[in-house]
Amino acid sequence: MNLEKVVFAFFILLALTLNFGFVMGEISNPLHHNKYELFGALTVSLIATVLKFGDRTHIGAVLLATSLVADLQLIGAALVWWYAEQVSMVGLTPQIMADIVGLSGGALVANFASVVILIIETVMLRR
Amino acid sequence: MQEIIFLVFRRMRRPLIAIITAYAVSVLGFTLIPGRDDAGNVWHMDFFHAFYFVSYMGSTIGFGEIPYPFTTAQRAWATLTIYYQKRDFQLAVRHRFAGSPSSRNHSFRRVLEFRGFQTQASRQAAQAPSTWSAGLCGQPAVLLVRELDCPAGISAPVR
Repeated sequence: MNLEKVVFAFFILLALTLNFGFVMGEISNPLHHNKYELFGALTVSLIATVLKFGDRTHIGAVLLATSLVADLQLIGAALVWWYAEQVSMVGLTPQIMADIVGLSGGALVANFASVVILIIETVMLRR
Repeated sequence: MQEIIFLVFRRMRRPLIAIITAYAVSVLGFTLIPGRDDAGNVWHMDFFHAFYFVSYMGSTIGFGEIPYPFTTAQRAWATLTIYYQKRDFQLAVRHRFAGSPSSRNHSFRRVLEFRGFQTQASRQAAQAPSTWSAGLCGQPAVLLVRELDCPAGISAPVR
């Protein structure tokens, strides 16, 4: 057992679970989506990205790419939220909320791919 | 070039994570701590303003309190986060510029040297036909490099 590997898997999984928790619920209902959860998902996703830096294997590159996709989508979701509440001042209409959840749903798929790759890599390891 | 970028990223992992965590904790604190507006009503900072405040707090001490003057609790949190962030920024800067003259950074410097050697060799090969003495290592290589009267290390001319 290796603490570094525990931390690595921990952050990749936590990015997925937080993202899932945010996306869960009715897509256009703002009551079902907590902004703190989106903030947590974005933060953990960024940390997971940084943890994946510097691995020059092919699987490492793909892992980094999935993380970058998740970051991009989550930042997009946060920007839409910010724009709706503070720039255009329309607030969280069902349409806007659906956009936000849609974007973070995309990030969820990327995070899921990341976890699948992690599992495949783990299974391929010979004891 | 790519190896160098990846190596820099790899070396920057720890300070980057420290900075992300510091920002996240500071921003979260500011969104949670209640403030009072000029009419005395309770308000909560939103994520955008918290991020804005934390960002310019990290780079400059000597700022206004937006959008309303802070309460004592907010000022206490600001004081704590200032020191927290300063520490992590210094860590990052130290990591970034650490040890270029010393040997602390030996493997990284080796890669840089090797990269320089590669460019130099390919440039020479492009300019003129050259003889390559490859496969030498250990004492013979050291002797050869010394014979060729060039500074030691991998940056020796290869003609």
